[in-house]
Amino acid sequence: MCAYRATTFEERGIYPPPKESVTVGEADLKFIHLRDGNDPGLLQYVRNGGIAFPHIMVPDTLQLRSVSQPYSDANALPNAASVLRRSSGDQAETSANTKEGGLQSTLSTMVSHAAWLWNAKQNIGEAIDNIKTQSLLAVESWLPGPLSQVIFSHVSGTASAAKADALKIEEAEGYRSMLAKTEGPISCVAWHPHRSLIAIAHHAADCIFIYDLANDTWCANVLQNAYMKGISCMAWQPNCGYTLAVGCITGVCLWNIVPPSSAAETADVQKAPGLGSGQFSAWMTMLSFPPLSGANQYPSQLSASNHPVFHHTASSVSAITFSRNGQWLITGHQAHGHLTVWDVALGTATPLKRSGSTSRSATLQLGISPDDRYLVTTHANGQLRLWETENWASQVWSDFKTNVVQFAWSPDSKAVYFACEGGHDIYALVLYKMAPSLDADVTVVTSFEPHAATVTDEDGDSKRIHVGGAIKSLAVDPRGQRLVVSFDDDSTSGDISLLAVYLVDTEALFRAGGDSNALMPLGYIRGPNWGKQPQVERQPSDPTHKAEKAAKNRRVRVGTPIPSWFGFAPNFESGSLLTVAWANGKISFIPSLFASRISKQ
Amino acid sequence: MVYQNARNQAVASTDFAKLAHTILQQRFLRACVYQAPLAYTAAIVANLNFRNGIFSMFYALISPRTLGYTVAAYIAGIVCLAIHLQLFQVTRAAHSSHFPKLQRLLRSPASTGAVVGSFTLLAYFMLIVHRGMFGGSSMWLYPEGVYGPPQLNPGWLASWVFVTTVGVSYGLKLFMDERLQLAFPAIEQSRIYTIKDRLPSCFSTAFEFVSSTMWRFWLGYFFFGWGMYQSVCGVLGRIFTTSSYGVGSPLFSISNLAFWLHCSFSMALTWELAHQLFGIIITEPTRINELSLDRNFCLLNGLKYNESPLIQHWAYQELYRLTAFSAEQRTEILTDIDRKSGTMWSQISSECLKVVQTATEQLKKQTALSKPEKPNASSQSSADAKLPVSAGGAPIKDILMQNRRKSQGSEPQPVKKPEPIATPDLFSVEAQGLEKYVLTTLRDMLLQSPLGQRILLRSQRARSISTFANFQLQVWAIRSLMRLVESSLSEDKYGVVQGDIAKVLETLFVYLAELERCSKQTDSMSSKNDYNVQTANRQTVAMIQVLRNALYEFTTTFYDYLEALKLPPAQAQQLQKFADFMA
Repeated sequence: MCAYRATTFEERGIYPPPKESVTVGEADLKFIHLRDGNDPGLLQYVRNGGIAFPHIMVPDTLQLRSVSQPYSDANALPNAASVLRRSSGDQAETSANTKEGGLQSTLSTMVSHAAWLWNAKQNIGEAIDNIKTQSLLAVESWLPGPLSQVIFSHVSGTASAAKADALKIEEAEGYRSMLAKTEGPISCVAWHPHRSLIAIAHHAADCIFIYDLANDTWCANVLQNAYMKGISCMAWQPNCGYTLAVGCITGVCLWNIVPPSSAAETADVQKAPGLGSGQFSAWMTMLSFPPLSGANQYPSQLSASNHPVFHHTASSVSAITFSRNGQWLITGHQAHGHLTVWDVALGTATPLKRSGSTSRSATLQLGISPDDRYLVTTHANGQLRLWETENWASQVWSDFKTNVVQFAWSPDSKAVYFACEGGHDIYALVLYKMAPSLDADVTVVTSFEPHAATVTDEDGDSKRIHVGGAIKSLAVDPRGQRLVVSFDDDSTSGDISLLAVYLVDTEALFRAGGDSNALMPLGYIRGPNWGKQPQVERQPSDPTHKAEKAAKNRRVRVGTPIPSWFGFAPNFESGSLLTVAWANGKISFIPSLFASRISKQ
Repeated sequence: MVYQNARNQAVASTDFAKLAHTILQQRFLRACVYQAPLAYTAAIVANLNFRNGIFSMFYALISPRTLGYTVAAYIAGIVCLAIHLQLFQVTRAAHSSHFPKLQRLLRSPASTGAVVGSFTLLAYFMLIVHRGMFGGSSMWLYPEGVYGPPQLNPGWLASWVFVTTVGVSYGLKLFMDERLQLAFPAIEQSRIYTIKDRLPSCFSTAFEFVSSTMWRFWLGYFFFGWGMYQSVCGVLGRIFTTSSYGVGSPLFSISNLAFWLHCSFSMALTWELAHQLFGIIITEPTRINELSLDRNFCLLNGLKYNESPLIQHWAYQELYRLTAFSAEQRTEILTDIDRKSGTMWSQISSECLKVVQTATEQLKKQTALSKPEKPNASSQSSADAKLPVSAGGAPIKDILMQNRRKSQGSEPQPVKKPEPIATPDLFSVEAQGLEKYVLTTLRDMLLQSPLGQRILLRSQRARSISTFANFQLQVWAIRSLMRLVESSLSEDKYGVVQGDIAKVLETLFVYLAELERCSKQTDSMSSKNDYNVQTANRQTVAMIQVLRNALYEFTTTFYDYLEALKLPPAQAQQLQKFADFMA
């Protein structure tokens, strides 16, 4: 491992924007920070070709109404998708057909009874399994807690086993990373690789919204299913229309979204045909490896009152990635370090058992290189593993003090930028030879030390604020020009609402002589925090006193939302488009306009 | 490295089949080498004894008994490998109902008999070895003293009957469960890792087989065992003086049950390990073309070689692999234009297209539609000139969609409801002559009753995985072909691919339409939802996904050039759906 001398933000004369401002974009290598909507900088920015994107807001809590399935037996099917929609159009249609359905329901009951008898062996087996599970649960509930924990912690399907699994996972991943994942209403966001669609996973409701940025509308449907619980990651399948893979505790929920046939006709000719704001249909396929068993098995009858409670199992997914051609889906798991390679079209799974079999080596993140020739995985035991995808051989780096939290591939597939949990350094795993060679080396590219920086507000007053902290996450734009870093809240951290942006030059890593310019500081991004929020203070119980005090103390403070997720849009003609999900549920889009500059060069 | 060395000493032969036969022999020898450590593993498992503590377990690693058992297991494993080498299958004819299974057994009675007989003899051999090493009930009992007349030990007889059951069951299982069918791996891994990954399933399969066989044997012997014992004793009593003291049943002896379990598990594990080893080594991707001086032509010969399905599969697997990972050879194929028989691209692509076209024809026959529908595109008037595909609709490079142009996709036509299949496909293996007449008559009689339907009709699962005999070959052909087309964008110096793009797309679109019609037919026959289509027609749905994936990839790769392709109206119209992400 070698290191380069890093240039700091202060050395380059880059200071953070004041807390009252918000960053709308970057043009000519400078970030535009606005104080409010009347800021003259906004007009200047737009005149110079800048694009101001609207913010999207996702509420903390949701109340969704479900719509009956179009077919009576759909609920009974193991893999049937339940798409909960906002509108109630289908409900009215269902109620109109109620009378006609009376005879049909009698017939269907008879048929179902006959079918039950026909599959008596299987049904009896299921019933015995149920009785077994119920009796286990009953015995478990009678026993004292610690004793049942000892006895049943290895019996799958029991609450003790679930508790033991959860504890293992918490131990492995660490409390901090677990909490970081659950910060705010948004658990993860995924950009469609070819369309201007983003899928947003809601943490509390375990559902997915789709926003069409081209048409500036939310899609009417919300994707939700009884088996889609504890969403941990999400990705759109490239080259397969609208197929979304969602990693959760039961495995991977593969949503196939069928756009409405009218979408192409009704779409504005100035806009692309997309999912639009109309109703689309969707169905879900469950990919679980190993297949779900015991209490987590698909019930034969799934209804609103029979939503199973799922526990962490060997098939629980922690990270997913698609190959660029969309053929392979690679999943990492929460309970062990093995990977599963799915041929999505054929539905075949191949396990790759290299890392450990316990939750201590659970996969934290995985990402395939842009040329599909390499895969990088990080594990909870501190391993960083580089795979080549031809023979699936791998090489491990495990001499890091802490886990590798985040990494990002450079678009030429020659380097992987990453950071370690609690650290201030940005590393690069540099691949010196062509695939499938695993000849690579780890280099410290730069370091962001927390420091006090001077901030000047609009009145010209200067004050010093503490910037930076342990690096929490990072992302590289698809053109390989910008690297964005967010910070974690720890003892060394200051203003963690800021994102630091670097100018990337991957070629510098391959130049001899220790060039320090692989990452050059470029600027800071501040989130949409101009909304004044009333300060929440604990008041005495007396209501009159409370009202008086509230009026008196109606001071406001500036909200400083923390970034909970960020990433770049896969395609943006003018440069790069950073998407940031803030902990308060707001999603902002920050364009960097540099394409014309590159083309001139 | 091995292949690199081989390439340095490349041979002048371009006969893929000849080279492949050599590779097959080499692989068999390698399997024999790998069988040795697996036999040792089985021997260790057989010799583990938890009663004497951990040190005795360490001793089990090097004890003479373990080494002796290793030799026996090795011999048994080699016989298993030889049986697999003779009888493996590549194309699939899955059928889960009982009658076709029986038919499959009786179709080649010689091989069935040979396999069942071989496994029975292997079971006897393993029993003898097992008894020699671990003991077991002796053949004779002397209830009247050592100088008195002997009596046949019922435990001894039951042991032999049991191992006969195990051998016969395993031999039949190989045929009936299509275990001789090769499954090609989705990804290539190191052989050691693959074997390691398969070990748990070997243990579980062996245990499941043994437990089910033992249970059936126990039940059968409970009813007929005593009669059998009496009969054997009767025969023996006619030859020499035997005792007729009353003896207990071996079925209730714990030591007998433990012995049977131990013995049968060891032998089943040995067979199972050999079975998995054969599958792993034979289906590994090859690099036969690299052994030849003219590797492209050698590969082409392999693609054309249809006398051995395995060799043809190896050739397509090689093509698939090199199109995915070897940019150098891909470029070589695209620039190999100086041949009398045509450009290498045109020959390879025509072979791949032939696979797809054959599958389309087969599917058409299978669906047996009374009135085949015309494809949507052909219903358009012929006045349509060559329609360019508009690429402005999808915002691949322009997220703001400021340059959106009007989509050319016309209104999709309503799907015509297809008629149900007239006669279900009952026999996966075609019968001829008298056999066909007898079977057909029997089938028609049996189909009148629910029981007959139960016996004859395919299960949903069997139907779902046996739509195509060469499913894997088709997947490789489609993916390889489309990868070559996509890489032609940057690697085709002479533009040989460009002229064939329309033909390739047409073939794929026709196949896609046929597959969609087939899946809709299943939909209308069973139930009106996608889940049933997925489960009842799994291969069809998977093939649709493969095609859609390939066509979307083509669209996104050639996105900026779609208008310039000047495709015929039919393809332009269908491709427009992919360009608009509405397919």
